[in-house]
Amino acid sequence: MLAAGSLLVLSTLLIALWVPTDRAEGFRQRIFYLHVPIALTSYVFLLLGAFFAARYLLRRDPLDDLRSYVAIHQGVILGTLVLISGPIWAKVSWGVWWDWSDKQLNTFLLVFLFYCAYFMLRFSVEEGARRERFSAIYALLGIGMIPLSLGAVHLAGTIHHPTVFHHDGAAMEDTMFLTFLVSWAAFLALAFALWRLELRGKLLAQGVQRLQRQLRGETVLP
Amino acid sequence: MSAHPVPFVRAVGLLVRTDLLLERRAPQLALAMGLFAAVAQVVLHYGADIPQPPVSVTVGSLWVTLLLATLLAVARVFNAERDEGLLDALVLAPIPRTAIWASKALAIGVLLVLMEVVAVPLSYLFLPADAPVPGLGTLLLALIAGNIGLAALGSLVAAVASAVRGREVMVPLLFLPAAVPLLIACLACSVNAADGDSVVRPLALVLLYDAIVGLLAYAVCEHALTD
Repeated sequence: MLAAGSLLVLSTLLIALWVPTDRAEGFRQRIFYLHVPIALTSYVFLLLGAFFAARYLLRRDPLDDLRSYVAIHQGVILGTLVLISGPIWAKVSWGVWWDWSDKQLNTFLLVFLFYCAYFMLRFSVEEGARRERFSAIYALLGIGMIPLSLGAVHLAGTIHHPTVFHHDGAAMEDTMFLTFLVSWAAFLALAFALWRLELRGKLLAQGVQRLQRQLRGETVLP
Repeated sequence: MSAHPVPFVRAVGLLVRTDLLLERRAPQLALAMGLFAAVAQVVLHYGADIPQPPVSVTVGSLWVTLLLATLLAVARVFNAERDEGLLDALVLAPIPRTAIWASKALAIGVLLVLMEVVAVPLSYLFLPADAPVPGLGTLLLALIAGNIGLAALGSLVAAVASAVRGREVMVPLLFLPAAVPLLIACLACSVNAADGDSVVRPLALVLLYDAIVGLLAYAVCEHALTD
């Protein structure tokens, strides 16, 4: 958490004081250093959720289910931030809150809606092995949905979003790229710290529930 | 020697035959899907209310209709097995569990074809006189490829949703977000065909969707059917 905090302070200073102002977009381009790193971190945690889901199906360890759930929870929270910061950027840049021809934002919306349904599914099943299995199945399906949504949105719309990452590298100055990397590292560290914190909280809550059941004289499986 | 006394293909054939026999004796679902497809197209026509609709609207209304009608099949296809306890018998039967998923996918596929027999001619009938239409061959190709993806996804979603609280609510919530990429690709395929553009890229995406979702569903369906 300390490392995440330090990186966040550093990235804020870099964004506010050090990075040059973009010639085309001006000051408003600085939202890029928040919006894109948060989006990439969200994808990383959704994929992490799918990874732990696959591991759960292979090993049937309830801890993997919890890891998967918490990772997807972090991914969706970050996704909400992306869907807030994206329209703000769209409004100041293009004059509209939402642009259906913007492929990145629309891909993100599809993936976000898919993972929102994950929570509906999870809380529609009683706690136990069935909930864990169904959650893992749906989370694993998400691995396919990310590239397929991207491909579909590419087909449907024109490219409107400012694209800075190409096959031959990043189309930006070195100082901008360094600031972007620091900001991404900061959000990765923050999300990882929050993931660990939430996981620890859930495990503690489970431990307390187990103790309460033992105190009531119920049989508790280890 | 096979791990199961009844091989996969034979098990799928027997299970599909049972489902279709039941549907033939009491053709509730196929009729409901056909009627729904007709009603939905009328509703979409008045909802859009455009005298000379562009091809994206006319073809789009067809694909939206098909997608929504698929929900009817997905919502019902596993209910008998779950409600009557037949699924436990099927899981204990000497057949591969993947055959249960595959048979339900095939049953959904057959229902989709029956519904499209009603929906596609209707969509052509409702078109304005000079509206651009996709060639029937390309549309059939998109329909076949789209049906595979819808059936593979639908069977997996049905297996999961039939075992949860509020299954009627869960089916569209689980199915629609996952089906949107397929809808976009099928729509792009049909619109490109009507405009005289290449259909290779959208058709490749539909086939990629079929392959990814089909393989993922095949890999995990056993976990959805085990209690």
